[in-house]
Amino acid sequence: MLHTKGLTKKYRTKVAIDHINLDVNQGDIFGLIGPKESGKTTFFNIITGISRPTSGTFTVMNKPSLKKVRQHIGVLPEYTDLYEGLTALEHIAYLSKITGTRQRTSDYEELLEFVGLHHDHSEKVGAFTPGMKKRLGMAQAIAHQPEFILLDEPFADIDADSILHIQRVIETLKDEGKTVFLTADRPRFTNSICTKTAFISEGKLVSPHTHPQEKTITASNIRATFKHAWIDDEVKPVLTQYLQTVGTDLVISDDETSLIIRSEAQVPAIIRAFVKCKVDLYRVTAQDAMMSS
Amino acid sequence: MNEFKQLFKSTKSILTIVIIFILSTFVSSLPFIAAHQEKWELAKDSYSIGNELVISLFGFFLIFLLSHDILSREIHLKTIRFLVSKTTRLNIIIGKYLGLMLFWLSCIMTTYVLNMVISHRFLFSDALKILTFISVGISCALFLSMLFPTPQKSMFVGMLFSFLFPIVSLISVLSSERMIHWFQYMTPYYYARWSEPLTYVLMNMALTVILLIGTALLFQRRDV
Repeated sequence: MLHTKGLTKKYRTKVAIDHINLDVNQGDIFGLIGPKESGKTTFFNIITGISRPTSGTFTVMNKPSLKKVRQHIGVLPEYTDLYEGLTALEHIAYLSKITGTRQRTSDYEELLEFVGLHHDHSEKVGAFTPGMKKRLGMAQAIAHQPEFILLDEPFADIDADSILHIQRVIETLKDEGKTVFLTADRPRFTNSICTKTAFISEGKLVSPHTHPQEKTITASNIRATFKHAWIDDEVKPVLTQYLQTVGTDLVISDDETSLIIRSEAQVPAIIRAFVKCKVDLYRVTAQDAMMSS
Repeated sequence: MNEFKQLFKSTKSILTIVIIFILSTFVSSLPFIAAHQEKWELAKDSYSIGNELVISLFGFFLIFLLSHDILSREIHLKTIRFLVSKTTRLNIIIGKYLGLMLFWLSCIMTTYVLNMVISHRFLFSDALKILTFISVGISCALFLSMLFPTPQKSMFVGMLFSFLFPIVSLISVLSSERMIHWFQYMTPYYYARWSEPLTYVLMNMALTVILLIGTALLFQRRDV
């Protein structure tokens, strides 16, 4: 399905990916795991035609050019805004029209139900939460029933409910014999669904044993404590929803929140959650969870 | 079609039609238009001359006001990634161009129909000439929107361009100074002086194609 040979992308002073050779076979649910800035998205953007490689070649569905396979692949790019003026239904219909695979409205409604947005198909996308937007992005990727689905960070920065929905969608695609390529910054949400995994670090593929993310995961549990401004009762459920996707053993009080995380790489996501809830942070402390208990 | 729908469903379409209609009606009532009408072109009525003058002077401004960020907005918000993964980059450029052309076709035709109600004449060839002029403006908007891929930059450059381009073009057409005279061949204003409407239409379409090819080449080279 996907074959890359020596795929390299260089920016002025940085090598984003360096001679990546990768094979994804039919029926694989393939996870490319790596920390932020490791080159996952650069690799993803190249194989989906969003950017161009500096050197190296790739084939998708045995074709050297994406031109002839576009109708057979579905793509969910990372951190992409949606057309906020359109409703969920209009969004799917518009993007399907571009692919050249227009369907009936009832098909789109079914699809939105499949990703858990059946109550929101007439809502303007601008009012959607990040998780709902990701689910809608997922729906547009599979609307034309592609053979090969490519998903960039499908689990990043979304609520637990959306993670479950997306996992369920991928499981269904797996059962249908579809091929899925996805990227993630940690294997927590991909372990249960991926049939194959590769690890990337600093633009190069690395073995699982030398992968820094893996080391952190097996080596430590960190209890991170956040001292913050007073949180109103109506904010707490929202913050809880965000933080439950990042860590475990969550304790939220009025001016202090703590939770167990697996790696320091998760701290930015937590800070983002506080920012989204408009809660001022005063201090962050972290200690080994074993020692603290 | 999304571009067309978004522009047409909003108040922008009504405002555009009203602005063009009021300005052209006002211009057509100016005494010097009536005095020189026969001298300029016998087959024209004053409303059509008014339309041409308004579009020549404010057409670029209106186009850039509505569409300076036609590509830069999508690149900035990264929604372009959805499109790039679904179709070719050339198709995206052509789709955007056709969407905007359809919007302007609707506005110009509505204005001409309103004029027709007053003058009882519908000058199809004049409407076509205006549309090809607008076609050049839309291509310029697409080109600059690709060249400056953030909405702020494309707005600043677009507005500046829409003010300066008509002025520089008219100076280049009227001046005999060699330093600026060559510029006239790159502007639709020069070809408007030719009495043959078909030549004007063809030259404007050629300028449109050149600008669209330039935009497509820039897009091909860009990571989005």
